Amino acid sequence: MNEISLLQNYLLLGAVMFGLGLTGFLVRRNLIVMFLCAEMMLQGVSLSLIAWGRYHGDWGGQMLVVFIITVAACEAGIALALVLMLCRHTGNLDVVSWQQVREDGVKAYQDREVPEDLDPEEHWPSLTPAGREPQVDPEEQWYRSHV
Amino acid sequence: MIGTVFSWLADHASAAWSSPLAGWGLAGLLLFISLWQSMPNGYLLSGRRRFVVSLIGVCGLVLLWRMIPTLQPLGIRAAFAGFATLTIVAAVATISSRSPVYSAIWFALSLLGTAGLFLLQGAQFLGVATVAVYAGAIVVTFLFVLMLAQPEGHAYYDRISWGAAPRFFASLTAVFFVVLVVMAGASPDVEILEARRAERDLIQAEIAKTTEDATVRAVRYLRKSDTTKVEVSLAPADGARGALSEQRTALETSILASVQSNHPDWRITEAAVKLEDVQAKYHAANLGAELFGRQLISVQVAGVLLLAALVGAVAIAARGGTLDAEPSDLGGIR
Repeated sequence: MNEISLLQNYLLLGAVMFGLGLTGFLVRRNLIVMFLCAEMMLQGVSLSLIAWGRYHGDWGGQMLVVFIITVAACEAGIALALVLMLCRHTGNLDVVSWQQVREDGVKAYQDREVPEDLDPEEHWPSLTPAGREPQVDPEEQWYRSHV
Repeated sequence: MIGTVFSWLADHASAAWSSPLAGWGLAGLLLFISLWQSMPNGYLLSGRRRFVVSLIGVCGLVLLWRMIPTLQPLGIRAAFAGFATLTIVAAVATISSRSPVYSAIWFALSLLGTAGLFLLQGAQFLGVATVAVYAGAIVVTFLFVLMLAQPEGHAYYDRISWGAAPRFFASLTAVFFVVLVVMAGASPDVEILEARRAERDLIQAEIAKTTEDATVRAVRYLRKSDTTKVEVSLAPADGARGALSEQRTALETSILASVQSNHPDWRITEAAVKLEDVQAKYHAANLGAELFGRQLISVQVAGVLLLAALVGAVAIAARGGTLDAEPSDLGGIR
């Protein structure tokens, strides 16, 4: 039963990858991260296809994956050109910036959660001063700084 | 009164606990909590909380993998576990990183795990192609655009995503999908699989009368309107390929006889022996023969698609430059 368990393990892993990509696509707002998540869904499908191909002793699965990689490359090229163009218009990669293309009667999306940056303040290393402070000649200062 | 309610509850709880549905539900619940909490929500996860959330996720995954049969040789199981862990951890980090640059780098790592899984399945060419095309070209292009478009690092919309409700329902949908797949795949139709295995053994026994150097890998029936063709993939032993090709006609006759007795109601008129199967030696050569043989037209179509995408990308990118600039700004260049 080893072949069947191999198939089942790969199918489950492919489903997990597809689910993670789906979550990311629905949750994230950054255009580029959304495309990464779409690629992740394609990876999940590729894993399942390869597993089925091995199970049936057939080249069909691997052929489909070859063409999936081709289509993914096309998709990435066009999508990135589009993202660059969109980004030049709004100045950011946020999908919400393009919500004016929604239908009439649909409420505009507004951030409910206040975006807080709780990053701890950056701590730069500080050195204990040692020795005496060098005397700086103000005459020399203007050209020394350019060296 | 209360005692009867309690005993009723205890009976039903134990019955539910011993049923596989409880295992699926528990695994799904743990995975859902972990995924939901690890999505970016505006606040940094503290180290302890991150540890707890990932521990819950690992428990869910282990429970999920307990539902399906384990891989048998220990080496294969260890390799699969390693690559699968790498892939899943990197994928979770991809969708939960606040900084899109980190997302892209984690995604490249996840692709390395996937390439290892492809190699484990014997798909050597695709493993290498994934690393070269995906991790080498696509992810680098993503990073390039990211640096061009958002050079200041992560922005507030990377930290808060879409808000609480979409986070909740998206995680729930994904986990529900995964658990459904496990429920469908964890209980394969054993009778059909056993029948197929028995048939394969029968053909193997029939072939063994002619030669000892071939192992049956797969049996396929290609049904037409009223006739059926049987296709058997054989894995030749080392150095036995030439001898097997000479015995091809004899092998096909014996296979035809054995499967006809097995399926008396099908009109099986033709048998074919395939010596090039997925796990054969010279993998890349066989893949190339298939790709440029049976799939030749598809290759041409894919080439046209690539050309069209190239032209389209150039057209979109060039037009984007002139849209927000007045034609007079371009110094007469249109």
